[in-house]
Amino acid sequence: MSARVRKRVREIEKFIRLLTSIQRQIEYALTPTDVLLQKLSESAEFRDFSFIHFVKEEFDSEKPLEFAWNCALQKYAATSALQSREKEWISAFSEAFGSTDKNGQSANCTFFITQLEAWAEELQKSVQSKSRLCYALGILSGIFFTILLL
Amino acid sequence: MDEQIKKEVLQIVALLPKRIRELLLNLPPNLLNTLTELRLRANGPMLMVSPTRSFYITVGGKPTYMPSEHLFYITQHEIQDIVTHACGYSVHSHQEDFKNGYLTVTGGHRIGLCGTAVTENGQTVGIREISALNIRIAKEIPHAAEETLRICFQSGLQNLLLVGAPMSGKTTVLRALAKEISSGYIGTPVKCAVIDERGELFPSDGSVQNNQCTMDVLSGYSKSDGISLAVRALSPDIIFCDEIGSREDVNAITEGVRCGVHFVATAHANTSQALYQRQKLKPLFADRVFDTLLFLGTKERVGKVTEIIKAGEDDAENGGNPADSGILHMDGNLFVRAGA
Repeated sequence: MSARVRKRVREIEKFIRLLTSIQRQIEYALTPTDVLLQKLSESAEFRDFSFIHFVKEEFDSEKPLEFAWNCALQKYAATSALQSREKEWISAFSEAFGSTDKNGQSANCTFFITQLEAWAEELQKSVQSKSRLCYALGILSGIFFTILLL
Repeated sequence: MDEQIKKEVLQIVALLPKRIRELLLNLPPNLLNTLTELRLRANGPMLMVSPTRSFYITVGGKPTYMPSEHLFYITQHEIQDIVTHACGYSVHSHQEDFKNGYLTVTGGHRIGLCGTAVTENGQTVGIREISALNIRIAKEIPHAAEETLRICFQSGLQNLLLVGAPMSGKTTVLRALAKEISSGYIGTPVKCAVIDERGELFPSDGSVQNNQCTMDVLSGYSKSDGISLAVRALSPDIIFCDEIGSREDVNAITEGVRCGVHFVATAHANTSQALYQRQKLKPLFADRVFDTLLFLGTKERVGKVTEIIKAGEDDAENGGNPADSGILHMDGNLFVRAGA
């Protein structure tokens, strides 16, 4: 259970880094979407992130960006620990992706990053409190069995 | 043998939503291949323009010259779809294009945008509520530069201004000249710089091939900035730039010529009189910056030279009528001095 939550946190953090990279590329160089996807899929950080490769694959085959993003999310979700609220949120990012000016794109990224960060933090806390609980339960069980053995 | 749809037409068709695409692909290829413009209006019929005629399409896919209630109408949503697709789902990368009112797409085709201006401190910063599009199909004119090369570049480089009305093939001839001259037309390698402000001449997606050995393409620069940069940093023998018109362009070209660089540029005007009346271009003629002015025709004469003016052979800048002296008109393959 805890391992699955940790995986979920890692995946959310990966998406946060992805949206942050998109935001930087747009703010710094107004990078066109096709070039952006190419750069991200080749970057050391996202080379092993199947989601971005799925998006690029769909987009390169002339699919509209929103459609490509959502198809990729569906493919990625098959092996992901993300829950429906995160998937819906990541999907919603594509509605405005590439369809506004620089400021609009930056605001869109910030909006979605902020919520993902809040969820990641919330899950981190829950993982930590659960591990503390497990740790305490382990110690208590140990003491209990020791008393029984004595 | 059945005629195939030309590459440039297919590039445009690929940008269109499925409903419009299917309608166009059902038209006879020989009709599609003659198109020079597609005019799309939200909640209006699609108008197709060729050099000799304009026509509508009915919902059944038949060309017609008469407006009627059975015409194929375009929706607002389709206009928006085309714009988003045309800028590669990267509106943020095309802010300057929106400001200028057009997009340049793969193949160097231009999409004119009609909508409501977004202004800030009195300056246009963008466009909203796009209601109509004018898609201009950039055509390959076979041997487009042949005539111009023969007239102007037989004995070396010179400063040339190509002049014509919209759709007279100025950009196509300019592109062909850049290719030919950079490929060694005058016998020696020539260092060429192309200031491609709108990405129309040699788009960075490689859809129009250039000669990478001797041609530097400065894409996205304003003409004046691009010219200054090229002169300072690239030491070109000749610079090509499209559609000059501002005082900054004129100053940059004049400075460039004084630095010993040659120029081939284009300008809008349908006659020599109209050209001389363009206030911002006047210094170019007063300083005799260009050695030759070539006027290009439209419709059946698109891309063909219709009139030649050599510097020093006319006195228009001194108040005379340029049509009276020193102007060479094209008559078939012969040059005939006006009034001779």
